[in-house]
Amino acid sequence: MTFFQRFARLFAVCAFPVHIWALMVYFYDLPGLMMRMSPSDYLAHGSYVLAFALLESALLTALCAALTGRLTPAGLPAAQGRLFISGTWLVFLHLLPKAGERLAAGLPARLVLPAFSALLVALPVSYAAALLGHHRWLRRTPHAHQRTRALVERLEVLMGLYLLLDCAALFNVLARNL
Amino acid sequence: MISRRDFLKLSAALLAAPLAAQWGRTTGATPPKDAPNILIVLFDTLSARHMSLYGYPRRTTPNLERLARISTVYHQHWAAGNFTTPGTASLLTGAYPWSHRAIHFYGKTLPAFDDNNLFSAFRGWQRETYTHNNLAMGLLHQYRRHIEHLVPPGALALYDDRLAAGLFARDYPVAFYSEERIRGYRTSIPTSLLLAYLSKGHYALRRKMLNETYAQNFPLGLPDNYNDQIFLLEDAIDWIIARSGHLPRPFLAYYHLWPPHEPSAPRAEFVGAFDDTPPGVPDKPLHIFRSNVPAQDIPRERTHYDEYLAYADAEFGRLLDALQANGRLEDTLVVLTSDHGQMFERGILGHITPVLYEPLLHIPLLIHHPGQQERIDIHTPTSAVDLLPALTRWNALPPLAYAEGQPLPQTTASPAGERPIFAVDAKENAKTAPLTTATFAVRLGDYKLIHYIGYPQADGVSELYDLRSDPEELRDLSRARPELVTALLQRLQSARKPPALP
Repeated sequence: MTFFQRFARLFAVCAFPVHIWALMVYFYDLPGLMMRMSPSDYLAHGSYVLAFALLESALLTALCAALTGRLTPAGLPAAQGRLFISGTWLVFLHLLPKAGERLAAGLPARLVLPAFSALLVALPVSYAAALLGHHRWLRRTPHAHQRTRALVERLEVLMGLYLLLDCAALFNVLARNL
Repeated sequence: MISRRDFLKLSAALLAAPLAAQWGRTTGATPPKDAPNILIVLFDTLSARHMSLYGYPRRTTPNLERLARISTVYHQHWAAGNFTTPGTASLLTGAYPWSHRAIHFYGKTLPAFDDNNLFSAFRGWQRETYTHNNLAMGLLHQYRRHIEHLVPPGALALYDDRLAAGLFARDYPVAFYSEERIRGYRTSIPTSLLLAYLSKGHYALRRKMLNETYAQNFPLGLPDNYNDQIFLLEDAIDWIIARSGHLPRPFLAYYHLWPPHEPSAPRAEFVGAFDDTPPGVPDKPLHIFRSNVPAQDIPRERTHYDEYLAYADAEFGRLLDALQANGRLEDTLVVLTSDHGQMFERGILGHITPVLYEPLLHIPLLIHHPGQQERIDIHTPTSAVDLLPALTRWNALPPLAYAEGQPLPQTTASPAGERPIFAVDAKENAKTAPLTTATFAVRLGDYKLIHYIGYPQADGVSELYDLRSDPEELRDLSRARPELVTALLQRLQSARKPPALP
């Protein structure tokens, strides 16, 4: 596996949570944006968001590459698995404030704090459990490495889609500023 | 060693050319002969109901009272909206929000106003703007082709790490909004997964350091504009003073300053200045649109607002002294006003609310005509949309077909308010669709109608007040005077027609 291939696989794992989160928030905002902005402006906003997501993914990948610089191809699935789990749980972490709002709106006042506290505890516990579970799975299951690789290959397909969107976004940002 | 103040003064003189190249365009028209300069100073969120100039018991505005002695003072002046975007857009276009449609946060006016606004009307004047407020900046950027010198908010900030002004100047409003969302505006969730927190952490650290550096002068913290841009009003005033001496004549300068908009950050000598003076406002019933804030916070925030206002007034006093000293009051028409007011009653804190009570609509308007030496008091109801038609008439420019206001009266003998004026809050509507969820206010003579449509809590509900006998809006006359409600609603209906745009 060449350096470029390893980098691309790392990028695919890093770009996944960054783009999923950016697109999720953008589409959450979109109905409000459509109400008050012109189509060119809300598409431009999406372009800035995606262009930044590309930058953030690249920086995150560079950071991960630096941290896993001596990684061998054999060790890559474990690192990718850890990154994937971390990214996914980071997205969950970002959803906490909204979850709190929903709890406050839907539960009796006396139950809001206990429910939110339970969520706060559940998040790190589930994260640790997922990391540990993945680690044990890789060590004990013969096909685990292969399955992790298969997951990353699917993420690479998604990465192609993100990169396509990111390039269109970059082009739009440049066109509006030149 | 050059001080920060001196640096600002020097840059005021030197910065014009490069900034103009980046931010504005010169039209190259010939200035009219003997045309006066026009200096508009707008303090954001300045409610006339909190100004000692207009009778508030706390002595919040002694320096504006000094200006009033040589100015025309409008006592019944209304904003056209209850937050920056519609209020400022109406002032700059002379049109009501239902026409210009800048009704949302970070909203812009309809494209038809790109070339129909205050700055396009004063072609030939050297036009310059500065604002601390990024909502106002969005509008100014929209009109930038008619502004020779458009200075972005961060230019006079103590701390500003925003990239939009530097990297995306041509697309500033959208780029700035996107940057806010990427970083996470105030408590909103950022679209960035990781880097936003580095930015927030860096800001928090710098804010803490700056607050510690300036703790003696600003014990409640330094002023900021909710966009992580920390500033000193002193710097903006110094810069304006320097610019007033350097701008080529005739100039049209529009300076939109943040204070006393919350978060309140008064200078040390004003903190606690009103602890012994009650505001003199009666208790009012809680409103259905009350804010979700603890009741005990509201009087405290009112006091901090008054302190912040007194600080802004003191800084305005420095500007007034400088204008007197450099002779600008002799050749400059000075306008002092606001874009909207602020609420500290009925359980409502702030101005992001559907209501349109007087503390939100009643704003100051003081106009000093070049060389004016006496005070003139005007009690006729006037609106922010009247300023642009007045300025064009006073400068012998042709009337503006798109302006819905009428020139401001100049003498006390002016007709007593047979013309209705309006205000609108319509945040919850689509940009160009008919307004279906909105609040309207109509003022005709002494009477004021507030009319809500489309809200689940208040659809088709009207309130009617006689502001002469009931300035605090405590006695709703809508049931006792249904014929007057109907008449005012008809005036509202007939006014809501789009203006004639060229």
